[in-house]
Amino acid sequence: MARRGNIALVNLDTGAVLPAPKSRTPHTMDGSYTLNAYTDDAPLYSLALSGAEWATIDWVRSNGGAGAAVKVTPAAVATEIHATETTAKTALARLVKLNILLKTSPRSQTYQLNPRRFWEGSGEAQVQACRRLDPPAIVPDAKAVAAAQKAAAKQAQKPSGPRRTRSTTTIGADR
Amino acid sequence: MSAATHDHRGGFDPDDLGMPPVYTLNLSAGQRSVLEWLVSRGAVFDTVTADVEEIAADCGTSVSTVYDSLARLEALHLADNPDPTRYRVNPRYFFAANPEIRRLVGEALDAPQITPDARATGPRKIGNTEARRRRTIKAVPDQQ
Repeated sequence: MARRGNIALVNLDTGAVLPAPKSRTPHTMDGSYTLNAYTDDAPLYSLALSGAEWATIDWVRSNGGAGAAVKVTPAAVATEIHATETTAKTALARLVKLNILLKTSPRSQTYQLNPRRFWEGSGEAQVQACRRLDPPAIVPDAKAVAAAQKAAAKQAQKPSGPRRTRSTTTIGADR
Repeated sequence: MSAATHDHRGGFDPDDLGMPPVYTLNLSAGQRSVLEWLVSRGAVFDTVTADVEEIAADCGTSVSTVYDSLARLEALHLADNPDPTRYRVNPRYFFAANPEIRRLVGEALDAPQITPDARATGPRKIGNTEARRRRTIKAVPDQQ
């Protein structure tokens, strides 16, 4: 029986002994209280989220969805974000698809914001939640990819004149 | 968390830190993603340089949308523009985004102040032996 210290990862082709990969739950603050985690997931602003989807994220967040699973009904969200129930339902579905919201069970109406990106509570609890839920990374879906490609194509189409830089751009000059 | 549901304890409303929930402001997707872009660059804690073309490329929108969004955020006082190209997100947004901290701050403003008592102003106790020695020495006050 191999003892723990004798286990090694070996490349079967070359026979080289590889260093053991150290798994670490991604979070930025190791302190006693952490509010947010910035990981290598796709940033939210690049996902082509609609206004209702942003509002739904904010609604779940201010109802304690960062840190615990909360009950979210499309009707309740719709009245508070001033949208129709169908919009809220569609928004919830897309957020679940993007892995921004985690559904604790397929049939329940309880949702939790992905602890990889959203957290409010102690750092230790975040690490535990990451272990327990094993949250998938937030990845751009077809809509987000299409929007990004469209923006890139537009950028490439534009005549390559003198690019406005930080020193020459005056924000609000055209207002 | 709506205005109708929270209780008013002691005249102070812990939910009212001068900012309604973000989702009630009817921000468009462009405006909200520009806000998220600023926040992810640390604009809650410090002013950051906002390059409109960089924001437009990151958010997948046009430059004019970014200008409009920054203008609306400024009009809402969600973002402050102390000098051209530099932006700072209103710190009140931090409490809107983190309801637990918001509640704690509200309670702290409402809670009684901590006032030092006589022991707090006295000398710190060093050890049991030291304290006993001091007690025997100090036992008899000077009375004449």
